[in-house]
Amino acid sequence: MKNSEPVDVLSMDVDDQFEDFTTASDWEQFTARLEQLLSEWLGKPVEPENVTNNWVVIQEKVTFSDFPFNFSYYRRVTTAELNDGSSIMESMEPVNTSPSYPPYILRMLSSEPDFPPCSTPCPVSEFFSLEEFAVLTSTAAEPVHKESRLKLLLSSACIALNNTTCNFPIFIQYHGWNQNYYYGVAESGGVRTAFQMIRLKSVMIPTYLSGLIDVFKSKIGQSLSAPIIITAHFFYNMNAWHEDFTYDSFPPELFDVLKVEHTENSGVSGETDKESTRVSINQWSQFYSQTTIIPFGSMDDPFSSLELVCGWPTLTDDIVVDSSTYTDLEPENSPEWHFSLKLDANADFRLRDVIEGIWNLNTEYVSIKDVLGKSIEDNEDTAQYTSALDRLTADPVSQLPVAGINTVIGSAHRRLLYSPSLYSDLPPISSENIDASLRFLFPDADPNPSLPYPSSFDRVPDLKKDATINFWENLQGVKSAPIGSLVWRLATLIGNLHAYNGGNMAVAHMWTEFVLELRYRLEKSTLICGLERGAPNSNSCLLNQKLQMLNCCIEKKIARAEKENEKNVSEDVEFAEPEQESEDDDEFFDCDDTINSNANEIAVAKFVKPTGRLRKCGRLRLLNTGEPMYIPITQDPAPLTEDVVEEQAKILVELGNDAEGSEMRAKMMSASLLSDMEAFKAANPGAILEDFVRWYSPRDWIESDDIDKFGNKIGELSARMKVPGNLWIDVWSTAQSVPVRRQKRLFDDTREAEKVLHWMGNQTLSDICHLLFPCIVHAAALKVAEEAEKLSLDYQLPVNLPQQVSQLSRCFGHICGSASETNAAKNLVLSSLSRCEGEITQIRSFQHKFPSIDLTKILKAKQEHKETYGPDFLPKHIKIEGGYRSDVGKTIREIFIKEQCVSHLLESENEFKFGKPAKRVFVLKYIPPKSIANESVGYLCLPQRMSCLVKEDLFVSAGTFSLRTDLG
Amino acid sequence: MASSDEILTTLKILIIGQSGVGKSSLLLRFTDDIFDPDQPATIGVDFKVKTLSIDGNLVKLAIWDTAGQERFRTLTPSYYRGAQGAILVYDVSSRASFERLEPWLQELNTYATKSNIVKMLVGNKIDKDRVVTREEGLQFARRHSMLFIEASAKSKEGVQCAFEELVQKVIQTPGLWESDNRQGFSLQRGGEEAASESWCSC
Repeated sequence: MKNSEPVDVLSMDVDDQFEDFTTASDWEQFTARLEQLLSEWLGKPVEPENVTNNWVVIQEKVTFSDFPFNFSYYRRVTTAELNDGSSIMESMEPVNTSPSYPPYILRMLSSEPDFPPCSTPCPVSEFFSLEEFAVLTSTAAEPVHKESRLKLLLSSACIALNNTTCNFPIFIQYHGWNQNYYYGVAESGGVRTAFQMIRLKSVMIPTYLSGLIDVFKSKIGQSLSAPIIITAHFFYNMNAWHEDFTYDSFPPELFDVLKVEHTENSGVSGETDKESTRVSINQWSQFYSQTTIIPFGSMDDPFSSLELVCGWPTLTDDIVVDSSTYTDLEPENSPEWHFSLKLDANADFRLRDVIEGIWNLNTEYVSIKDVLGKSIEDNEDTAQYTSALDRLTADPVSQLPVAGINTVIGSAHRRLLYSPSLYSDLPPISSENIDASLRFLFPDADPNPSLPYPSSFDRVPDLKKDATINFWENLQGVKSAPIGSLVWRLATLIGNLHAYNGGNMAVAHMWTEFVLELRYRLEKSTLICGLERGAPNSNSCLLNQKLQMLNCCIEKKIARAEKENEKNVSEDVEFAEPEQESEDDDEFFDCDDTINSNANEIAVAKFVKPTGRLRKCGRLRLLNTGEPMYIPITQDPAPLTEDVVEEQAKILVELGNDAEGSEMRAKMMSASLLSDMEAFKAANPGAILEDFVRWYSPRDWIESDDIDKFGNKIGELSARMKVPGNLWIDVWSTAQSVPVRRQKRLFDDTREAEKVLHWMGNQTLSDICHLLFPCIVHAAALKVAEEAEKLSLDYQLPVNLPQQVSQLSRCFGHICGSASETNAAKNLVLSSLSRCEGEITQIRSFQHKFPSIDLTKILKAKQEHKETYGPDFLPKHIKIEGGYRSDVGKTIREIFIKEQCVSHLLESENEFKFGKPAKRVFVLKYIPPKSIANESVGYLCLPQRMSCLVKEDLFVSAGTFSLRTDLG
Repeated sequence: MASSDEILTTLKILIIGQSGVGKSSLLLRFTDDIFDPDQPATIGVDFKVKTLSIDGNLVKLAIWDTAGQERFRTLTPSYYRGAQGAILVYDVSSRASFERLEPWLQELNTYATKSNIVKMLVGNKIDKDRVVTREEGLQFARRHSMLFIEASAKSKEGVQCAFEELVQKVIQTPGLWESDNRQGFSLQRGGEEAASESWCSC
């Protein structure tokens, strides 16, 4: 069998040397398949999709008869190689060193330190210190566990290696899958190598170095002409941090902060605990201390344990003693110290918890009422706001002026959903906490609020680091609510309540109280604080738009009340000023209204008093009467939230694509035209359509140079305005002369306000999740930026995160993405946020424990040598320069001492000993001197290697033993 | 004729500009290939649909035509939401219509929700005696990163081309339309099924 590739029997030329493969056995077919794959892999260039953590991994399925296997190829690549994309073959060209050893033996000879080990996708590389190999693993129901089978497979591998030019070993996984037990073979360049493992559960053989040296010698021969080179690493574990070293970022309790902020302000709080809470408040956000209450960091230390590794990189068997009675290998003597911190996989991260908690509401399709088991309406009796303020009467009732009106209203408090006199069941949030929450959301109820809303929401925090400034700027496009506004506070508050103060019930309770407060404000004509004024901002989230809408309604209501007031005042006064539009005018006008007709327009106009005038329309005069033309006071179009716009657009679209549809649309849209025409008629008695068009659509009035008797240019309507029956003429003819004050309101604020409140009250928990989520993730992203800013080193925030948050924020609201898209967007953002949270917490914890280590340097070095370490943020093994005697070394010793103190193992610090290592790793190497490398036979002419791992109850040894096959 | 399921995407296009510059006429010429000098002045907003083939892909256009009168400008911007393309029209025979383009652009930038919306400047009525030169229009478009074309709804010149160019540009703009199939209302009857997938309706 010299064919390196399988032969296609059918296409073979008859004249060629004929070979018959029809009777090939299963074993031969299997071997041929292995050869085929090996040749394929050898020629394959490095494809980035096959590379993870600097390892090329290719897996193929093979079968031996019916027995399925996975045949996997592993090869470590350098970063340079990855970037070149050069093929494996090219890079495999051997570097010409004296004896032509295969690469795996060359590696044994290299002086590259064994520690720290590089990351690996397969334990084989660690056992045998290999950078290229293949592994055959059974994928059948049972692993390979018969020795005869193992030998059969090894012989297949051996033939396949011989028939190809592969100079790497093939391994067979033997025994249970979880045992990491491998046998391997390599054959190349006249050298055959057996890779063998021993794995013992209960350790029967001597496990001290002296014993291991004996074992090694007994395998390769006693009379060595070179010393055995030994590398030893001892591992010590520390599993319980003393409080001096624990870093927990446990933030203060939400309500402690909210309440203290309040009581402190009203001067009630006791002096004693004031100081301590002061400190905790400072732990909250510095930039948004007035706004952001998103918690951050893990509750417990992010690291569960510390591992100290003491290493002796080069020992020889003649100078070291390690036996049951005496050892040279004490941590204090070790020339190399490393340590690693193990992450606590179960650590709870608060920011992540809050976001995930709110997200989990996504699938809760229960209404608020069902959650609470009681209805909001039950409480909407007339006495709701005016009486039974039992709890609140104790509060200093304040009188505060409300923007825009001069009336004074009482403190914006009203009876709560769970009013003490009414409920028998305990409320999800105590009334005291609800009170604190409401004061946080609606600080204007307080005469001297501790957390007032900022005067404007577009202030930029004072950021210093470029990374955070960029991050901040890129977050501008998020469709949430203005930073620090009411919705922002509500979202973060509910996020906290859900995670730490009562779950779904608390959310439902808080939401209901919030809606009640909104209703109270509407009834009392008190503007909602913490919102941008004006029409709903379609670049903000839906909830913000709805609240802005409600505020528009309240504003309208206040304005109307003012008018009423004025009217009452003006009735007392004998006559109104000429400019002032008073109701008297309207009454006058109404009498004539009915007799107003086109025929006697001019005549009537002389008697009709104009009303609803805003100002003169330039120097224009009415065509028929010559009176100056006035622009009327007009109705503003109704403010709209995005969902309503969308609904209206949908209706408009549904009217169809034809002329009829267009006409219907025009009719629907003509309400504001009619209103304007009526107002114009009222302001300009005797006006005709031509007059209206001159004001409203001047380009439809075609002027000539001639001037009429009133000084107007003579002109005519444009052709399109003259078409009989066009809607402009129609609407004009139906328009009555009515000033806006007496018109039907285009914006029915009472109805719209009711709609918003009804909408708010009918949300399910799932809806609330959607309404708050954009704000929650936005706040979380800013929180992460803020924490990064506070670090003493430069932390690289994920560049894509702002874009991802922005995208996610647009998945909610009226137009939204499909569930799967939203879910994917959310997962992207959440994993990014929690990674940042985890890493920043790790940095804090690390700096707290090892203030003398320059973490920036370590992280930079990690970045540069990223192929050496795994995907963790911190390097797995951190070298301690100066070892035991360095500051860090002393800190580590201190950590171990304190642990033993905690567990009462130690009476005094002087007794301290590192004790028995949890794990010992030895690597024994024999390297033949050059003189005998080419002459002698047996093991002694080739490098040999044995690595051993010794634990309390486990002994694993992996040997690499080579023999020459070409010297006979 | 291709059925609706072969449609690549539905795009929302706006037509804005001063009153009487011929916005509705341009649209009518494009959708129905007619010119009606007596077409009434648009009240509020109107709307037309047309399917266009771009590079072998069918693209459905929902074109929103707006009234140009000053008073309607408080009403129409609500409908700018979600538009991927906007055609800003002026009348080459009216200097005033050209000089007042700037506020329209500002309004567009304020109310359009897609930041990378494709904008096109169209100088209409080139069949008439012009007072605004082609060069002036070109300069304005360049200053504001817009597409530019001159056209005449009456003579048909440039109309088809204008819409095609705009749609082409929208299609070429990454991130502007890919997600379109999940956005907004659907124009065909099948829209209800599509909507039930989204989790607002659950």
